[in-house]
Amino acid sequence: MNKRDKCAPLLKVLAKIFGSAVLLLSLPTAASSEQCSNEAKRQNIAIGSGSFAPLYGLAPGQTAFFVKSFAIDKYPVMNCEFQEFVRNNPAYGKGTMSALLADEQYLNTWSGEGAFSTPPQGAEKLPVVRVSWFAATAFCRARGGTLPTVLQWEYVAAASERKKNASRDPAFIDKILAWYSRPSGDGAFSEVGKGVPNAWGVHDLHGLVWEWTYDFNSVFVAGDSRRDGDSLKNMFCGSAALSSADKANYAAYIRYALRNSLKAGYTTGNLGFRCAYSGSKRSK
Amino acid sequence: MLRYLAAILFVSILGVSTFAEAQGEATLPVKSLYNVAMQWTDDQGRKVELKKWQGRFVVMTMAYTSCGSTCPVTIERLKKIATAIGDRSDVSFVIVSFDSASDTPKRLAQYKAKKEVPWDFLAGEEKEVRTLSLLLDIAYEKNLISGEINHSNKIVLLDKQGEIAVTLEGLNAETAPLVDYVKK
Repeated sequence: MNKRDKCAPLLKVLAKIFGSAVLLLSLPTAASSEQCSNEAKRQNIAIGSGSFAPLYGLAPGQTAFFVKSFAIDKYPVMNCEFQEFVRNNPAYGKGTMSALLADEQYLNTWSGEGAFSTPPQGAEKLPVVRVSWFAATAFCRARGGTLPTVLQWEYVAAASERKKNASRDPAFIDKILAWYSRPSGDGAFSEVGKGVPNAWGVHDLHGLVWEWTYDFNSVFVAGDSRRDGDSLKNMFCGSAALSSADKANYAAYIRYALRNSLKAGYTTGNLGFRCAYSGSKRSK
Repeated sequence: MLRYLAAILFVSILGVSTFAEAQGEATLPVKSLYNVAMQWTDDQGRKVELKKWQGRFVVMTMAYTSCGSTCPVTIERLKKIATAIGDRSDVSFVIVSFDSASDTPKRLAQYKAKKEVPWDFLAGEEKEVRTLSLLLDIAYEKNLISGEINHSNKIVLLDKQGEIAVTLEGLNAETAPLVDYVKK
């Protein structure tokens, strides 16, 4: 009885000190990632409607699709934003993410686990990579948006610094190809927003990371159908446009070929994403 | 004395909770598609989840009712597979529509009657269809102007826990691997 009376107050004090220490240690990270995330949430760009001819998808006799107006993230999603998402959705953390929804390299440069998954020191504003389509989709859903469709992404990305549709400008295409020819990998890139935005005001569609799209598995590239062993006619139900609309746009071809090679659970060291929003969501 | 009782109580609680947790974990394997929450409506207008078929083999494909060329071929292939498998109460055939806009339950029911098959046809919102197509690794594209749907042709076998066991790629793939898997 005497021993218990003496121990209890001491234990209470120790618990308080320990608890405060844990709280204090985690607060700076929590506060900064939340702040970083909140700042990013306000940054999306209104994209006006228009006609656009993507490299693939138009059927014979069709010249362009009409893209309805929408909004899109100004930057690719950053590590700090994804950290905030994981804190609130620990099933998407490192070590907790389902093997059905992501491969083994999921967030492999991060430390910690589950809700406490943490990006490398100093990498808070780098674009998040090593995330699967399922993770990216869940993030965008939590934001009230979706991954952009291939059409939406290509439409916004067709803009150079000055022109909204520069998809036939050789100089613009060459610039993108120059970036594609440089090797890259985990961490070997800069923070988001360091370059010049395009004519819509959107950053980093080229020159930073590849980006997931909602319907990346909608791309039919002729080479893939040969691999399947079926004749082209047997592969497709409907009249697919198998030749590209503009053979000079080799940069776009590379993007489509990349999309064609992905599976939804894949992660790579230079594949990130941004979100799109329908109708009403606009930046101020 | 109190300390001993407290220790026994603590260990008991730990033991019971571990046991309970282990029981809970003996449900679905990680790679089971039934782990993914999706909302479907069948050809009778009932709301269903894929998990409904847990405990049975599922022969699954994706198609749509106004598909002119390849889907009818796939349906015939499924009929052949059904015949080869024979009369089994633990094998279901489930066809999920690509066409979230046009394939209503009523239209699916009409298609089912026309094809004279006892299978389940499912419709869902575009987001569900896209998600399932990615889980099954089936490519598809809907033309925004004509509404036509281009798609790859795959027949997938899910095992009794909802994991993908066999995939038949293309219209000419041999059906034997799928039939053999069910019959072994």
